[in-house]
Order: sequence, then structure tokens, then C-alpha cells
Amino acid sequence: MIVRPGTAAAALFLVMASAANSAEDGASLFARFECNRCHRIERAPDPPLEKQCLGCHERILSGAFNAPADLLSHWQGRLTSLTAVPSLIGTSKRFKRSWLADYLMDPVDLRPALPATMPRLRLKREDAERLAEFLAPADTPDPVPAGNPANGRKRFETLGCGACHRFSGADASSSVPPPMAVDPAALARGIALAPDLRYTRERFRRESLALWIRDPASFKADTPMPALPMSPIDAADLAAWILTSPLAQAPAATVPKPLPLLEREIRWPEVEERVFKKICRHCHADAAFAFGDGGPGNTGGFGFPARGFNLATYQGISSGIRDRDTGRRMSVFAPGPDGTTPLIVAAMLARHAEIAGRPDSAVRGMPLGLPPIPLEEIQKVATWISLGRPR
Amino acid sequence: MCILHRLVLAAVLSLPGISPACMNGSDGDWESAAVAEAEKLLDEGNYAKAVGVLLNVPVIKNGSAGDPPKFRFDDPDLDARALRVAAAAVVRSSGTISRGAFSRLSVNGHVRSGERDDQIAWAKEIFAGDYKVKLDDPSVSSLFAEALAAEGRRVEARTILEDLAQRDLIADSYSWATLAALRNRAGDVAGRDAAFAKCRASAKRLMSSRVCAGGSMQ
Ligand code: HEC
Ligand code: HEC
Ligand code: HEC
Ligand code: HEC
Repeated sequence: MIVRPGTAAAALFLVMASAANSAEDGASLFARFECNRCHRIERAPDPPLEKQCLGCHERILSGAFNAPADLLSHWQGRLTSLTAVPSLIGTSKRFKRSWLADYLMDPVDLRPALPATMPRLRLKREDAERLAEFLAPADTPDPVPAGNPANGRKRFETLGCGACHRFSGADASSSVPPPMAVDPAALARGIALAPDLRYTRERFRRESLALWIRDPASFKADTPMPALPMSPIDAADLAAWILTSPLAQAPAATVPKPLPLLEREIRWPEVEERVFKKICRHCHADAAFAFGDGGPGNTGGFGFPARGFNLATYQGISSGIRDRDTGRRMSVFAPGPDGTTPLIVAAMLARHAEIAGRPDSAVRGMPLGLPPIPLEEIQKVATWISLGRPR
Repeated sequence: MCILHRLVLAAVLSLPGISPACMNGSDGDWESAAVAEAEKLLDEGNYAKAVGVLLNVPVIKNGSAGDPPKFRFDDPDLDARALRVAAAAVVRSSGTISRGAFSRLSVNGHVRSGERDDQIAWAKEIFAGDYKVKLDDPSVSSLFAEALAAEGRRVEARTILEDLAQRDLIADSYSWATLAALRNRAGDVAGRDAAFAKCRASAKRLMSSRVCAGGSMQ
């Protein structure tokens, strides 16, 4: 007897995809969405090392990873993604609950020097609200503190805050280094993790801001922001300026147009080398080689069900992906939601759109939460597909 | 910590000459390496060699799983992969891979002789088992269909492959070649040529003339 392929697998997939339980609290959502694979937090243990995207990358960069030296140095030369991620320690005194929920639903790029962004996860609004409550349990009224913004503007300059921070839209030029010795590695980490202060008024608890500016480690022991020498009045003035300085509108980001197909032949080894092997297969791995864990884009993770998409081999990419809703396999070369662009190309273009602030609700941008693939590389993939995917 | 090396091995598999320490044979991970090597050989059309490198893998050697893994992390699929490669080698060589090699393949510990039909039947059973549990996994369905076709169960084989083809989910040049032959037999000449064209696109460059040549099938 021939069973119609797809039915049983699809049923199983749907059971897994709807694992969400309406009574689930923030802590178990945090565990189910595996937030701690990227974020440290005091209230949840780190997952095993082989699950830690951040922890493993840090160990590789610092040389603490147990591997032969030649291999380590090879890896160190290639690793740029998820090598620094803000920890979620002490969020309750820092962030507004309502901002957290909005951000989780629709993440924006907060840190100009950090290549990664918070990924768009498969969160329902109520999940985001419970997670926000978990991260900010006490959401008391938040009065605007008093202070002298003009003095704050001056202190920003003299204290060298601009060595790490951008404050886009504000009149905040500052090229002075901080008035104290900061070790170069700590400075580099500080620059990578310093948020654009434009978003602070939306997200930071106003009553805490002056204290944060003066003594950030009292909120968050692992913060890369140094305590700079200043009086409580300076701190209040800085806070007032950051919260109230007029902001120019952010320039409208445009979604770049895809490039036309190339005129030359492109075979699998070229697109594999340029795109799939470099980035994609770290999340869409061959489960057979990775002890059954094919990464979040294959065997599931970060709250995504197993889409079964293996980008590590020609056979894998040709075996398609499970449909997000029905679980039935479909080709990634078939037209995506717009009816013409192959799904896999549409996903890479959607990442450009997400960065421009226009997420596509029908297709998730890829690579998930990481810098977009350059248009010239997407053009190669599109050309390869149009030629019948020669191997 | 070996798991970590294996885990990231996927990322560096294509690097010649670099191999994480725990891959050097001391702790049981040679099995994973052997299976990976066999998969590669199969993909390159080296059926006999593919089976050759599997001969010491317990599930092939004894017909049952070896000792419970001591150092291997959780790799429940390894035995299944080893069997799948061996079975695919049998099917794709039309049951003609070297007798010496095959006589050591076994089912449930019972060593079988090298009869061609027996070989194909054995291989088909391997895929049938996978097919039951991994429905809608194109790599499994197409191998099952290849085995059915080799056994002469052409209607069933074609049903599976046409469904995959219609959804553009045939991943392997060998499966395209099988579909081309099945269409040819059913008098669908245009369909046959279309399948051979797909076969050529999906075959490794040097393999195409061998796998996708019209005359060589049934
Ligand atoms: C794949 C890694 C990854 C996962 C998984 C992830 N995040 Fe993030 N998250 C990031 C990165 C990177 C940033 C920094 C983005 C930026 O600054 O633009 C971030 C930023 C944040 C921030 C803002 C923190 C700050 O200090 O600015 C919050 C809050 C947050 N994530 C919560 C979550 C929650 C809750 C989950 C699970 C539901 C989660 N993250 C899962 C990578 C991840
Ligand atoms: C066991 C350690 C380990 C874990 C866990 C791990 N990685 Fe990596 N990752 C590596 C190594 C080693 C490299 C460099 C290997 C290479 O480039 O071939 C790498 C490279 C990458 C790259 C490509 C290089 C770059 O910087 O862009 C991406 C993307 C990536 N990892 C994402 C992830 C994500 C997402 C996770 C979590 C789901 C993760 N990794 C978990 C070890 C790990
Ligand atoms: C060495 C780099 C560095 C310097 C110098 C620095 N900061 Fe920071 N700052 C950071 C980092 C990193 C964060 C993010 C905190 C975290 O997640 O641990 C931060 C966070 C902040 C925040 C919270 C913003 C938000 O939206 O969450 C404010 C406000 C801030 N800094 C103001 C200042 C001011 C004012 C100065 C100068 C007096 C200053 N910083 C100097 C690195 C720096
Ligand atoms: C950080 C991990 C990660 C990286 C890196 C990554 N993916 Fe994904 N990918 C995922 C996850 C998780 C899903 C499942 C998303 C869902 O179900 O909505 C996915 C889904 C997809 C989908 C289906 C999208 C949809 O909306 O149905 C495509 C196509 C895809 N990935 C292609 C790629 C390509 C191409 C790359 C490299 C350029 C890549 N991915 C890199 C994690 C990743």
C-alpha cells in the first residue's frame, strides 16, 4: 500500500507547532523560546554548551574552547555573528514593560555597531506580554525626572559618552574619549553593545535613568558601560537631555531592489561557497552530521517548529521545507508569497526589508536576525535557480 | 566534549587536513566518520567502496547495533544512516556490488547469501521501514521508490516519484534517472527526456553521463 506522503508527518508537525499553552507563564515561555541560547539572565541557567550560540562563540574567540589550535584560529578568523549579545540581567529596573512587549513583536536595530539584531520570533502578542512581565515584573508609574538638558548636552561631550554611543537624530556630536583609561577589549565590547540613545526615551524607566548613568553596574553587574566620574546633578542633567532632546525624524530607509539575473552560468559550488556554507548552514545544518540537531532552521529551536530545511548539501536544499502551517513539504524554489520570486530568494530579500523597517508578514527574513546577504550574492542564487539549479 | 567537535565539524567538513582531536579514532567516533565517508562515496557512485568502508560498523558487521555509545553523544540515527547507504548502494548497483562485501551485510544477525533479488528485497525493506516513520521526507521516499522500481513494482514506484516530481522535490539524480526509465517504459517519451534533463542538472558534473544516460536503464 502507498500511503499518501505528508499526511502523518503533517499531523505530527501541527501538534508540535501548536505546543503553546494558554496558561504558560513568562518563565516557561523564556525556556520554550530558548532566549538563553543568546542572552544570559540571572533567573535561568545557561543551556548546555552545545546549545549556546553566544557562549560557544565567546569560548572560541577567547581560545577557551577545547579544540586543536589550528582549528581554533581558523574559526576565529571566520566568526563574527553573535559574538556579543546584551545580557538580560537587571531588566526589571531598566526597561518599561510595554516597550518590551512591542519590541519583542517588532524588533528594531538598537545597536548601530552590533551586526545582529533581535530576531523576529514566532511570538503571539500574549506571549510577548507575558515575557515582558517576566522581564519587568514591577511596572510602577514612571515620572519625568527634573534636570537641566543644556548642561546634560555639555556633559555628554566632555565625559566622552560618544566614544561608545550614537544618539541619532539629536545634536550630539562628541569625539572626546572617556576621561579614564578603558582597556581596549572592554572598549570594543562597549562600542558593540552601546545602544543608540534615540530609543532610550521609549524603553528605559525614566526614574532609573540618572542612577544608571552614574552607576550602571548597580543595575547590571556585567555591563560593559563604565562608571564615569560625575556628580548626581550631572547625571540628572544627562538623563533630562537624553529624555527630552528634540529628535530629527529618522531618514526613511528604503528597501533595496533586487538585481537582475546574471548572464553567466552559475553552479552549486559557487552559491554554496558564497552563501549557504558561509552563513545559512549554521542554523540549517545537516542533522545527520550534527548528532540529530540540525539547528533552529532545520530541527527547530527558538520556539520554531522543525521546518526540516537542510542547507548543508545539494540534496538537502532540493528536499524542500515543511510548510509553516500545514507541515507539508514544498520546494524552496517554488514561487513564494508574491507568486513569482522563489521562496528562498524572497526570504533573503525579506531580511533587507526587515532592516529597512518593513517586515514581511508572509515570509521571515533570512538569515534570521543577522545582517542581510548582499544583493550581489542573492543575484547569484536567483540566477542559479533560473538555470535549473545545475550542480 | 567530543560532541562539540562533532557539532562544529559540520561547519568545517570541507576543510582538508583539519580534524578535531576526538575524530582521531580513539573513542568511537570513527563510526560517524565511516558513515559520512560512505555517504560521500555513494553520492559519487562508488557503491562497492561505500559498502567497503562500512564493513566494521557494528550494525553492518553483526546485523545489530554495537555497544551502547560511550563517547558518542546522542546519535540515534547513525545505524539507520549506515543501513541506508548500504541499501542504496545495493539498489543503485542493481544488486551487483561485490559479493564479498555484500555477504557480510545482514538482517537481524542472519547473514544472507548474495542473490541479486534477495539483495534488492533486503534493501527495499530498509527503506520501507524508514518510509513508514519518515513520511514526506523526499530523500527517504525517493530511495524507497528506487528500490520498488528495482524490484519491478513500477506503478508504486512511479506514484511516489511523480508526486515528488510534481512538487519539485526530487533531490537526487539517481531518482530522476529512475523516474525517466519508468516514464519511458510507460511510453511517455517527452516525460522521460524532461526527467533526464533534471537528472543531468542534479548530477555531479562528472557523474552525469554515467547516471543520466538514457540507454542504461531497464
Ligand atoms: C539568536 C539570538 C537571540 C535569541 C534567540 C533571542 N535574542 Fe533577544 N536579542 C538578540 C540580540 C542580538 C539583541 C541585540 C539587538 C540590538 O541591540 O539591536 C537582542 C536584544 C534583546 C532585548 C533588548 C535588550 C537590550 O539591552 O537592549 C531584549 C529585551 C531581548 N532581546 C529579549 C529576548 C527574549 C525575551 C527572547 C526569547 C523570547 C530573545 N531575546 C531571544 C539576540 C537574540
Ligand atoms: C559548539 C560551538 C558552537 C555553537 C553551540 C554554535 N556555534 Fe556558531 N559557530 C561555531 C564555530 C566554530 C563557527 C566558525 C566555523 C566556520 O566558520 O566554519 C561558527 C560560525 C557561525 C556562523 C558563521 C560565521 C559568522 O560569524 O557569521 C553563524 C551564522 C553561526 N555560527 C551562528 C550560530 C547560531 C545561530 C548558533 C545557535 C543556534 C550557533 N552558531 C551555535 C561554533 C558554534
Ligand atoms: C565604554 C562604552 C560606553 C561609554 C563610554 C558609555 N556608555 Fe552608556 N552604555 C554602554 C553600553 C554597552 C550600554 C548597554 C548596557 C548594557 O546592556 O549592559 C550602555 C547603556 C547606556 C544607557 C541606557 C540606554 C538604553 O536605551 O538602554 C544610557 C542612557 C547610557 N548608556 C548613557 C551613557 C552616558 C550618558 C555616557 C557618558 C557619561 C555613557 N553612556 C558612556 C556603553 C558605554
Ligand atoms: C540564526 C539562525 C538562522 C540562520 C543563520 C538562517 N536561518 Fe533560515 N530559518 C531559521 C528558522 C528558525 C526558520 C523557521 C522560521 C519560521 O518557521 O518562521 C528558518 C526558515 C527559513 C526559510 C523559510 C522562511 C519562511 O518564511 O517560510 C527559508 C527559505 C530559509 N530559512 C532560508 C535561509 C537562508 C537562505 C539562510 C542563509 C542566507 C538562512 N535561512 C539562515 C533560522 C535561520
